[in-house]
Amino acid sequence: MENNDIVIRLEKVSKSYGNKQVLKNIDLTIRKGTIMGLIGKNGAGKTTMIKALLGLLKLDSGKATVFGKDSWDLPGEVKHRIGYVPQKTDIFSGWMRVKDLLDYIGAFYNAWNKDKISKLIKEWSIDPDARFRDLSEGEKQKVAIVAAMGHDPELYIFDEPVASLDPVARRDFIKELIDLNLDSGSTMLFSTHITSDLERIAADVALLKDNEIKYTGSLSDLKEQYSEKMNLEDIFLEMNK
Amino acid sequence: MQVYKQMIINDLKKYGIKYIFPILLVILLSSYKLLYKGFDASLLKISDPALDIPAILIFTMVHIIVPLGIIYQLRSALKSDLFVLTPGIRTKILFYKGSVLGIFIIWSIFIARITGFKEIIFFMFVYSWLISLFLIIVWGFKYIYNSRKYMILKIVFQFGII
Amino acid sequence: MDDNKQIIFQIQPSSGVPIYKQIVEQVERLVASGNLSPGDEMPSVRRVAMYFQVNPMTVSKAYSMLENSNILERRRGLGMFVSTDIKSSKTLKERIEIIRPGLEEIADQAKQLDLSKDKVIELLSKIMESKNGK
Repeated sequence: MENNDIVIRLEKVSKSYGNKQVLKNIDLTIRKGTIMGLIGKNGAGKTTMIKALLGLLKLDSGKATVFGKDSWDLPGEVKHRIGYVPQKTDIFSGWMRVKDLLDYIGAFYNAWNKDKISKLIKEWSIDPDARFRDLSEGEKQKVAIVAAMGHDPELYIFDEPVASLDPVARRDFIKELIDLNLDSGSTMLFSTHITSDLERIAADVALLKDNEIKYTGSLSDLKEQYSEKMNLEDIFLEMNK
Repeated sequence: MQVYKQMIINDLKKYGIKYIFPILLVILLSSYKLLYKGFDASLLKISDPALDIPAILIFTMVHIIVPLGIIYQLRSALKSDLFVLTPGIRTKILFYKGSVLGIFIIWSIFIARITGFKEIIFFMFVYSWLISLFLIIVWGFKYIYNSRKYMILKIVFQFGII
Repeated sequence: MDDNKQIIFQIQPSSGVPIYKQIVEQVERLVASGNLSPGDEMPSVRRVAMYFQVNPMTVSKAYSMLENSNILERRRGLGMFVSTDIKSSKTLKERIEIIRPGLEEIADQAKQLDLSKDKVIELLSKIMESKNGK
């Protein structure tokens, strides 16, 4: 197996908060260019898994690597290649204007694609002069997404990126992802509970249940394992029984 | 650099009002020393107990508020997810806050009129000890910065303890 | 590039049938029924992916499978086209079925014109022989 194209690898990753075990012996491999959807009930540990693989949390045991480097304390060159959209947008300074916020974040990256940023801001109808705190939840989420795309990362990690977006905005977002995947072969991992979005965009899925990865593999294989009458949502409900 | 300028603005916007208190104290002490005691005098030499003793107390208080405050700000900044993943941002924040602390220390040396090589070294030692104490108070024994290599920060300052 | 031609197949992402399979089955049916003719250009992977908002790799996979079963052919630099080599893409049974509608029509006409089976077959044989000669 070509090891150079493994972008994310989790090996026997476990994480507990006090007495509560959230992740148990998680194994996951994500290869370059794939779009993987992470599904699981709320509270199943999707966000924890994402934070663990990004080094935002310390693992209790096991190993997590991104682009071959240990997640805990990722080197700067790896950070340049990752775009992360967290679940909560309260990390951004509320008083800053959108355009200033994006400029500030951009200043930390070697390559900041100003044209792409302007194009997205315009397409998604975000007012660049608005203060971040004055935006709606959906607009804040859009800004967070744009901010993650500016440096043309090879790997995108989205934690519930469309939770606050209306259906039209979700469509636009998915179109953008497809574009990115086509143009630059970017790898994507995103967690969502909106199965219909996943069905469009994901090639692979990973199901997190009872603190473990219960299924990982291609979406089409999964659908073929179950009756033709069952779509992903039905399968998901079935697997969660 | 543009980034630092923006950091300063962000800082002021975020904490703004809260900086007034320590700044006032600094101005107060500086004025006392410069205007009243004289440029060459040390704040630590008691010549006029009625004024000097409160001055020294205020001086001590400032020395707790400011470094502790800076380290506390550092902690909340370094912990943020956005900052962990944005390349180089934590180094820049450390540098920025470290510079502010450095300026404060230089001011201290000036106020306390510490001269002479030995005295300065002694002062640095005491200061390191103070900083390491504060680092432990604020961070406990957790990793600073989500990084093993920055454990060194704590260790270096531990020399003060010796 | 064809990119203005209408896309004539449908994709339902939220179906129990995997997307690639939907594409494969539909293209097969369209070709068998004549709605897609040999030499017709297929919409590009990008276009299909953007139009239906689905993963491009899935579309690629479908096209590759159709290429493997000789229903589509890849022309370098140009894209995917319906295979002109229709012979190898179908079994005998499938091919025979394609001319059934035509034969049904001939049978109807023969009945109306009161022509016997032997007469019709005789004419057909002559026609086919002369075509084979070319």
